[in-house]
Amino acid sequence: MKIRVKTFARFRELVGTDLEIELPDGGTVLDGVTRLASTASGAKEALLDENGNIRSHVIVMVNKRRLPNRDREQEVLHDGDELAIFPPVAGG
Amino acid sequence: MQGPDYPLRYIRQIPLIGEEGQDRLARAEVCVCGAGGLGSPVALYLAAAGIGTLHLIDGDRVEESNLNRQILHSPATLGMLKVSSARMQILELNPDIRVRCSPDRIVEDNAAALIGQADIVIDALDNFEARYVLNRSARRMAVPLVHGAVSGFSGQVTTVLPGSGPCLQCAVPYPPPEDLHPVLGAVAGVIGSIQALEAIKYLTGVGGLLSGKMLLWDGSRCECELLPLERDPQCRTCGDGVQ
Repeated sequence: MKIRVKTFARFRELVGTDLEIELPDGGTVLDGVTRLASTASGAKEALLDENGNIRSHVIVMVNKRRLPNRDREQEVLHDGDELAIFPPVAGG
Repeated sequence: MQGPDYPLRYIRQIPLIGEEGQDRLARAEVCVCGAGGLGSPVALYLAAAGIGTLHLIDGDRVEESNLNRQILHSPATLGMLKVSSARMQILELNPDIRVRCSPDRIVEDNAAALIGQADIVIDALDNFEARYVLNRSARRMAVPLVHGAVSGFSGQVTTVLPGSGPCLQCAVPYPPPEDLHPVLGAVAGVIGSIQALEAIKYLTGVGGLLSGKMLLWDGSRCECELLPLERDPQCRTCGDGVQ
C-alpha cells in the first residue's frame, strides 16, 4: 500500500516532504516512521530512540488526526493514508 | 464630554483596540517568564503597547553569546541580571509603564507567588521542566498562559486558557530535546511577537486567540501549520482525576 508522508521544519530538512512510501498491508505508524528514518543520515537519531521507538516528543498525525503517544505506534495504516510528523521545539 | 487624553504614542493603535482596549492594557499586569530570546520581543512590544505593569522573571545574567537574539540586552549590560538590564531598556522605550523584576528561576515552590497577580502569563522560557511547572501553576490559578518556543529556524505558539480546554502538556506531552540548538534572533522575534499579540488580543478582547490549536512556524521556508489540540483525559497536568 502507498502512504503519503508530510513532514515539517527540521524533519523536512532531513527527509523531505510530500513523499510517498510503500508499506506492506497491515503496516503500522511505527513501520512508516521507521521507513522514513532509514531514508537519510541523521533521520534515525531524530525520529527513533535507542530502542527503535518513535521519540516521545515527536507529534504524529494520521489523516490530520493527532495520535496520543500511548497507542500510536501500533496504529494500522491504510492505502492512501496521510502520515504527518512534526517536531515541537524547546528553546527560548 | 471629552474623554481622557491619551498620549500620542498610542494614537496609531487606538483605532484598532479602542479607548476601552487601551485602558484595559494600562490596567493590566503581564508576567513575562524569561528575559531572553522570546522575552525580548514580548516585553518590548508589550511595553510599547502600553501594558500597565510588566513583571519580568529570569534568574540569569547577560552573556555575550545572548546578543544575537536577546535584544533587551547590550554590550553595556554584560554581566548584569537580565531582569535589571531588561528593565532599563524597557523604561527607555516607555517610561510610563511599571516594570517589576524577579531575579528567580521558576520552580514548584515559587511559581504560584510569582504569577499570582498577573492577568496573563507569557512562557518565554528555554526548557520544558520549568514550562510544565508554569503550566500547572497557571492552571491552578486560572491564569491564561501564552506558550512559545524556538529552535533553529522554527518555533511554535499556543495560548492556554483556563477551564476545560487542552493545557500545555496536552499540546506537548513530552519535552523536546534541549541540546544547545542554534537560533537566529529574527526567529525568536517572529514567535515572541506572536506571543505579545496574543496577550494584547486577550486583554483587549479584540480578534481570535490561538487556543485549542498550536501554530508551528518554519522560518526557513516561511511556512506554517495549525495543529488542532484536544484535552487529553490522561494528561499529567489536567487529566481526569488530577487535582
